[in-house]
Amino acid sequence: MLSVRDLTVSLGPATAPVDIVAGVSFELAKGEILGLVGESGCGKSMTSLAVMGLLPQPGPQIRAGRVLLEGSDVTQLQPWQRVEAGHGRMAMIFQEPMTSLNPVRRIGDQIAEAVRVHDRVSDAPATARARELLELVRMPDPAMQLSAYPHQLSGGQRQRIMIAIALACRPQVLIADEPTTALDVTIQVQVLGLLRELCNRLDMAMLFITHDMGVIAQLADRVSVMYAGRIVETADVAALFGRPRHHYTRGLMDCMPSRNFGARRLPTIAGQPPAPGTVGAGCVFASRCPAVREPCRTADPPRAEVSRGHEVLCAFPLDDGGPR
Amino acid sequence: MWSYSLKRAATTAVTLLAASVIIFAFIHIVPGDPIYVLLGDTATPDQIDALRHQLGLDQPIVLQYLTWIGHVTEGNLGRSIFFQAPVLSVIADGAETSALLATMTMIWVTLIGVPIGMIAAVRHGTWLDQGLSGAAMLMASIPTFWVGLYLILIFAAWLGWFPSSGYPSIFEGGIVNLRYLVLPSLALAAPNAALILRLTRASMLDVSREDYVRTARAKGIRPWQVVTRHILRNALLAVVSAFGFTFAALLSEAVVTETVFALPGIGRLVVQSILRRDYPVIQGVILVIVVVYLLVNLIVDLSYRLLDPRVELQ
Repeated sequence: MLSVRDLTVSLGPATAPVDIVAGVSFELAKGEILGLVGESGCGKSMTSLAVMGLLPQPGPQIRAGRVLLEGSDVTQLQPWQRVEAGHGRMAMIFQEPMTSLNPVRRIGDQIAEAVRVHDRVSDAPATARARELLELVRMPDPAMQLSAYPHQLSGGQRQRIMIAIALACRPQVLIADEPTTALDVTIQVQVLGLLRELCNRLDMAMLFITHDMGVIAQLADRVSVMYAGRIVETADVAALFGRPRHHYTRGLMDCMPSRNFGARRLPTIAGQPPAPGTVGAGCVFASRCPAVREPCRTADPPRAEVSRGHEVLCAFPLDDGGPR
Repeated sequence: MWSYSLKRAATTAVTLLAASVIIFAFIHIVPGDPIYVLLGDTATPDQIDALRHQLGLDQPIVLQYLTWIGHVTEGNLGRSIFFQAPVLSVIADGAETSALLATMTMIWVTLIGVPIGMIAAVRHGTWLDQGLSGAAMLMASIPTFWVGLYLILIFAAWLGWFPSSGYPSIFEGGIVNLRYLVLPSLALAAPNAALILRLTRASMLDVSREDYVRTARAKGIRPWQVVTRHILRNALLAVVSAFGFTFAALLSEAVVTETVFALPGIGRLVVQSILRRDYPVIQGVILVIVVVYLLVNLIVDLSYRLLDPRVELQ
């Protein structure tokens, strides 16, 4: 469905590029939910914007790699160009529901606008479809909400509107960039439930970006863990949480409060992630890795498939022969 | 909406009252006397005293103010000392020119400032943007009278397309007389259009970084639709409020423009009346200007409600 190969996004001049996303590859199958997890600044949002064709201009550029959607190359294409060319359909929802809707236009208009583009219909059927979409995202009183303005709605309701706008594009792939981070915990649960249900019902694949391992565990089928612009480990959810193979993934899990119930102090990963542009040869995690060995500092780690569908970017993965 | 309008009307009345005190006080503080202007150097002290008494200028200033403001509330702005005619009719004579000049100027400001600002924003960073922004900076920096003189030189003296000065009423010569106002309104519009241009550009660039613009792009609508449907209207919120200030600037710049183009407008009237110490006319004109200015700002505030649904008028 969606295939991203060696995607590299860089800032700065072409002569001295600073890679903020470095050779990211992943596959997203039909109806699958792939979680992309990592800490702030690891490049997960940039990855999603690059895939979607929404990198801010002027700003970071896709320097290398390809994005294939339904087999057609959509690298560097903005959403309107994909629509023009009749390629596969991809939509996106964002982190900030409070600022992601146009404050001076009615909800109905904002949804219908997307419907008109993708269904190529006139105003009346577009409004009817907008109403259906509001029902689909379970907005109470959809007919009323069509004429509401964003400031009259709560954060959770606005995120439902954002989902409705995304669904208006009839996406085969939905990219969700931290869609619940700005919401209350109870609302978060509702929105996650809704997204999961919509993926099943509409047979829609989703790339779900978050820094919250707990959310990933509930929602995703597979997970990719990102660190310093690279995907360091990819596996099925059960495999990753049951038996993490990368030392960074392991470190992230140790930080989860739910896994350390009753602990007075949560363990942390010592040190800071490297700043973009300071990454030299060797493993990007070497400076913080508890199991670092000498070759890690000089040689790039290999990408190895340690078991079926479980890839790790590490020369000496966890649990690899002998007790840890 | 109506209760808001009423509240605004009340505050407007208070502002007007304060303005009337300030106008009256300042004019009487200025040295000089209409008596000498009227009677000349050869007047005898008896003549001077008689005229002063006749005009009521021998009374205490507070009493003079109260008499004046009393008449104003009845709609009577007094009589011009110089013209020997009601102030209201003196102002009415100049009002036609000034109102048409202001209207034409605001039309130029809108037609030039907003679309070109929009183009500069859409093409920002390119040579086109730099050229337009640079030209705008230049126009904002050049004094109105200089622009006026060059417009006269090029379009009146060399090309002969437009008349260079004066303005016969459209009620006498028909609508074609508006051609007399083309050059003065352009001169007056130049610096203001430049400001609106730069403001439109800056405001559009600000808005284009908003999250909802990214949402609009994600929908797959074309770039120009993103601009017209999502960026422009939000950017205009900031521009609309600037129209109020622009109008205020217009009132003072009109004084110069009307002099350069010898237009029989309010601006020139106020300057001449100050030189003649024609107190009732000065007071009347400034009061009218204050009223117009307050009205324009009221309209600007009300139009906010139409542009931005978040604004609650209370």
